[in-house]
Amino acid sequence: MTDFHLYHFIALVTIAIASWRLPEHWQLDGISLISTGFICFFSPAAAIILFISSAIVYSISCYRSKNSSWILLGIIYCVIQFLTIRYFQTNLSQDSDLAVPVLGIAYFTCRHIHYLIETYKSNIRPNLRQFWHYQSFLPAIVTGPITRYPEFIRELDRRRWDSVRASLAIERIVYGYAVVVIIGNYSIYHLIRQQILIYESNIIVYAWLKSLYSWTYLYAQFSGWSSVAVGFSLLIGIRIPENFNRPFLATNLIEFWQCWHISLSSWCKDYVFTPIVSTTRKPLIAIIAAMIAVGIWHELSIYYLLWGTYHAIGIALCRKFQQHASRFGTFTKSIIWKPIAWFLTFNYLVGGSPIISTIARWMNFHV
Amino acid sequence: MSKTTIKNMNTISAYFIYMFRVMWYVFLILATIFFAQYDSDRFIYWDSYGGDKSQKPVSSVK
Repeated sequence: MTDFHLYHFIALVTIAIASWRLPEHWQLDGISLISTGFICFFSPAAAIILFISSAIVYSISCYRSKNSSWILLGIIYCVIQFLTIRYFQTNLSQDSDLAVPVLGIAYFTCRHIHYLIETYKSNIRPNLRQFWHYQSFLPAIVTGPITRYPEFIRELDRRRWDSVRASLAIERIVYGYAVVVIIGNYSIYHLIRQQILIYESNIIVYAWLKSLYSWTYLYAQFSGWSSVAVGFSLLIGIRIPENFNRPFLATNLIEFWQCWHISLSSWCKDYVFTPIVSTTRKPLIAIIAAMIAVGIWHELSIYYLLWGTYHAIGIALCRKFQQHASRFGTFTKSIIWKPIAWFLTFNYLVGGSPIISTIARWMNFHV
Repeated sequence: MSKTTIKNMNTISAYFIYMFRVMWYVFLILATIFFAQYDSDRFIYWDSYGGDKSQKPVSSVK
């Protein structure tokens, strides 16, 4: 483990203890105070940005929640702030003074936009203390998932000690760390990466294997840390949404995005896809916009713009196929179809990265 | 078999299953601590993936 992960673990354990041992009235404030202290210590830039944007978002939600222009202004501010930081993170070398790490920026930007929109829809009644608890919840701030305010506050209100839940929480934490360390960092990063180099002479096989390695490593990392976040939240007495549900078993791309990084997919569906499709009545444009948003959320680069478009095309093809599935008769319902569909989906995912990478490299060079 | 014998067998099997689970988690924790030495710090904050930047896996810490 790195120093950061070690301190992160210590902070989470401290929060779990404080959440039950402090006087009842101060327990939630204790959690937020430790979380805020952690962010201030490890990423002062994130703390400052989080403080400023939270102040802006909360002020708009409190005093201008029924004014759509102010809500739109708040959303634009969040997006511009996020894109600026992503631009610096992508294009500056880490030695640059401007390349400061901003911990959790991608998650708290999504939470801020969600808060603004739901306040406008009157689904949220602003409360400063609860807003602080929501924004500075450490288990979900570093590696997600993107929690929703109404569910989060409901969980805080219902919070109580449950030994069965605590046992399940410890199980999730152990599994989470084991997946990150044993499967992700040791098995995939140290062992399998070396094995892939054997196939370097065969460029197609090598590119496919390298892409497979990237996807599995990413899955081990993301799902492992999500499991740790879910586990520590349960230990505190709060249920947060699951982020992964066996995505590599998906038999089409739509199903894959319903199982991979679920909180981000559903956020993009609610706040990008649905508004665009309801105003334009053109699902294809909405799908492209939603997937590009997912791409930019990861990184502001040509690669991720193409990546978003590639997945949008895949989803659009899936929708088209599902609409015309009846033409194939009973074949799509037969036992042989599922393995074929899985094979096609899996190869569309894994085979996509080398293609996108090659185009992105070409565009970076020529454009 | 009498009811008491079946009840005792259930208790014994439940005990063994419980012990197996405890041992499994102890093993997982020890294995995680052992393999933590192979960890890399590439995935802190954002990646410093050298060379082919477009092929880099995404950091889980966002």
